[in-house]
Amino acid sequence: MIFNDAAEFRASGFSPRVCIVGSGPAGISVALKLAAARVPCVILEAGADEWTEESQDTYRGEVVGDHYFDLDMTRLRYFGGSSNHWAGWCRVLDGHDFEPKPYVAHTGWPIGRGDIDPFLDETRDVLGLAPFLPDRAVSDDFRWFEMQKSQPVRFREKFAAPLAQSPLIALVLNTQVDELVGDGAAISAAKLRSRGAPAGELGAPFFVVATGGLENSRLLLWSNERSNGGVVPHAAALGRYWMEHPMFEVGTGFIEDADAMAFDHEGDAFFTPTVEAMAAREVLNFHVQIESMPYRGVKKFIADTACLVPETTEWVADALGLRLQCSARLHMAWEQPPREHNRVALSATERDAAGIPRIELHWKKDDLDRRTMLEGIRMFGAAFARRDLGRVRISDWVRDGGDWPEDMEIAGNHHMGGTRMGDDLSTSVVDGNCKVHGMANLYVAGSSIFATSGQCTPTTTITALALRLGDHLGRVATAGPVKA
Amino acid sequence: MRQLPDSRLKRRTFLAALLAIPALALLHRVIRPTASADIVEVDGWILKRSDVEGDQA
Repeated sequence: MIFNDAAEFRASGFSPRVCIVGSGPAGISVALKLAAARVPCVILEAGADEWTEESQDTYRGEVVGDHYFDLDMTRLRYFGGSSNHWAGWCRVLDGHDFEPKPYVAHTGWPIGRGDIDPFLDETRDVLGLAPFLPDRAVSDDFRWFEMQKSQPVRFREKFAAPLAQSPLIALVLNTQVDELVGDGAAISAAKLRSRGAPAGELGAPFFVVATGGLENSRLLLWSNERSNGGVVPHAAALGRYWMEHPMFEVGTGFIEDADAMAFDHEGDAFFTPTVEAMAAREVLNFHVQIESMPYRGVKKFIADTACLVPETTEWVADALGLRLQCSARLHMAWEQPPREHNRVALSATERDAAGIPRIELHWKKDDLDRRTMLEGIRMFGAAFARRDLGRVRISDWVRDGGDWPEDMEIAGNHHMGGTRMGDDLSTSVVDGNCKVHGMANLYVAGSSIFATSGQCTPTTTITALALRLGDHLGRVATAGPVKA
Repeated sequence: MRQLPDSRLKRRTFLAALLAIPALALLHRVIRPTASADIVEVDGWILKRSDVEGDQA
């Protein structure tokens, strides 16, 4: 069932067991599993069924620290959420990503890859993925891996009809949750605003916050402030340990053994280090993307030569009127260390149209980011040369410790942490079942629960974790709230 | 793309010369040692030592 506002929904008399806030990949995946378990649920979507400037304005905010995207551009606030501009690149966190790294504080999850493996078949169904190809060792230190570039699923397009026909899922558009009401043990209701006006409260036995990797923190921070700590009673880590995947072009190179690269249909090949290689250099996880230039024959030769002796070929290029470049570009994306000071905070001065404080995002890369980037590409270059796969040249700004460029990718639009998963109440917000510490009926879905980020795109893991949460809630919600 | 007279021949000549240049050019740069004896870093290039010193390295 799909309703256009809270009034339509109330008139239906539908009584949900679970209230899900947000209709992106996480929220819809939870709902699908609940429906499969015959548990009625409602999804509250703040936006409409299409992009509107008015809705998007709610996401405006300020970034303090490193250069980053405009916050109202980096995510989308309408049916389907940020899946509406998702690129479709897929990969699941590796098993070692869930394990602690002794040389970096606050790493490690309370669950392992084995806890989400049972949900990967369903994840592939939801995201329309083929089975992943196995990784392949290219050296002692590196593995080639498949970054599956899928046709990106727009959850609005794929699931509008199934949701409309479901008797167990009610999607309510144009209806936001201003705040959750809690007493430090359980959530009693969500205060609604529909079509811009207050719309009363909605009660349910269970609540799932699935509003995205920035808004999850914002909603819980604001709700907690309004209820004097009654929504997240252990809030030391709330909003904190926020992470991105920094992404930069770090070098160029030429390729000797193209067959060993196994380039995908867009001419890209991806490589990631082994756990042992990371530990030996005390860096975090990363991947190197080799973007090949579509040259063949003499053009490729010229491009490779330009790469070898840039000053000389600059002169030759002028003489011949050619534009010469290396035949491969190297991009890196890496795992950020979870730092307490990187955080989502509530603005002290700026509020949105509903009077709710806007986001103030504090984000700054540090020495371990730079070390992971530089030592990572050096390690890759050495492995590349030893195997005679080609040669790599590291860009000057990477070697010289120059300023972070602002004209490159910068980051992946991957918003992780803020409500991270863990056992330690001082450094985490949710437990291994995605339940907020100390609360009987409040859960969080989405990449905000990531304890660490790994190196890969998050949507596949988000979906798997959400299906796991839906499976868990499907059993719990039929039995009633558990003791906090 | 601008064409020079007899460009095919001239390009071959240039390219043949360019082929001989890399090792010579690199020898004039500062060679940064790395943690591995078989790998050196020259002007940002990650190379096998034999790339710059020949097979006797």
